[in-house]
Amino acid sequence: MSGASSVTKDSLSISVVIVTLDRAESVRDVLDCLVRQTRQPDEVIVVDNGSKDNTKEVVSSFDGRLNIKYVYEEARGIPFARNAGVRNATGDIIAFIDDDCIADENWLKYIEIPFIRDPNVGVVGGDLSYLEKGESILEKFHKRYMR
Amino acid sequence: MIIQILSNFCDEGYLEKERYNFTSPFFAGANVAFRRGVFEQLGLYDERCATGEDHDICLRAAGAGWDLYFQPKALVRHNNKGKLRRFIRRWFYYGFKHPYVYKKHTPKALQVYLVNRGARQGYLYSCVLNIKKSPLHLVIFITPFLTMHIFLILTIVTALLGLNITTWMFGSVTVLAGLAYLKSDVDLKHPLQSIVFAGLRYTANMALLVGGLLGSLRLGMLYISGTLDYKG
Repeated sequence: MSGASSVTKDSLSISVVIVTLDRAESVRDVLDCLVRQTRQPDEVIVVDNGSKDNTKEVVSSFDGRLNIKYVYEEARGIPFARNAGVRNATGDIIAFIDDDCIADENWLKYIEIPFIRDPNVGVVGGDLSYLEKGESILEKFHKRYMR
Repeated sequence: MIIQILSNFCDEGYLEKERYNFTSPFFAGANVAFRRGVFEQLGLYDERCATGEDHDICLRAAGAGWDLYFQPKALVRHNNKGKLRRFIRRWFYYGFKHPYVYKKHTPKALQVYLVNRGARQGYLYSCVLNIKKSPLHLVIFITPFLTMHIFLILTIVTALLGLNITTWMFGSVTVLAGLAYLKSDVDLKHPLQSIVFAGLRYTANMALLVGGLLGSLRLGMLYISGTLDYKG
């Protein structure tokens, strides 16, 4: 059984993986929201999938505030980059957030709960909504139809 | 289904294991977490998935017996700074690449799915026909969008053939399906916005459908995609 190897623990370590390409400022916002988490990540891995901007510098600027690791993945494409993140992650839980997203401050707190409660929980998905600031018609459309 | 992530997740809890199949909801890669053991057991993301790698890994995890849990309180907000051209390209691309994930998880068959309006927890489609030994690998998601177009084509054909009564019948069905399709866009307080939303959703659905058709033909099958629905 899949869950048999997992032992129920009171706390688990969490690695957060962010895959990015040429969105340094947006990555800064994601990392800021990770600093503000009520349940801090044990490790943050930023996988750079070939950025030509200052992504690496932005990541370095969070040294000391987060246990952060910069990984460069040459092979272009989301699954390649996500896999580089998994290979570099050491946590019991590997959580993904995209580089154009902002997590609620209790994001990791709530992600962790089902994993602790039930060793057979392999995947936890959270809710997605759209940032309030979007006011163009296309952004309003996304807000209404997607999440 | 691509669209499953966009719709109808409601309550916190386990996704129903006994119902889990290709059309079950999955968690978008933008906000998902895995127990390390999942990767240790199943391997990593499938690198042949240009998109839908999130769908694929959820299917593999569920297939291996892991539980999938929806935790709505773990909220992530997405910043979608869209340009119209990118918007169309993105939906075309989703459609074009998704048949790979479908084919990987579904043996050759003729399958017909119907929209299940009363669905909870994202189970938006029910399989109403599954012919396993079909010579043709064909999957159709019957939606108001598809119905509207099929009957529109039939209306035009019968009109060209001069079959008046049949034309009226098919034309009426086209209008009814069209109204069912547009229902979710209508907001009488914002008529202009309703029209724009209808146009955008139509464009996205068409891009998804055409992308799915072309992408599936490349793989020697035919995939008539589902649509982008109101999450209501």
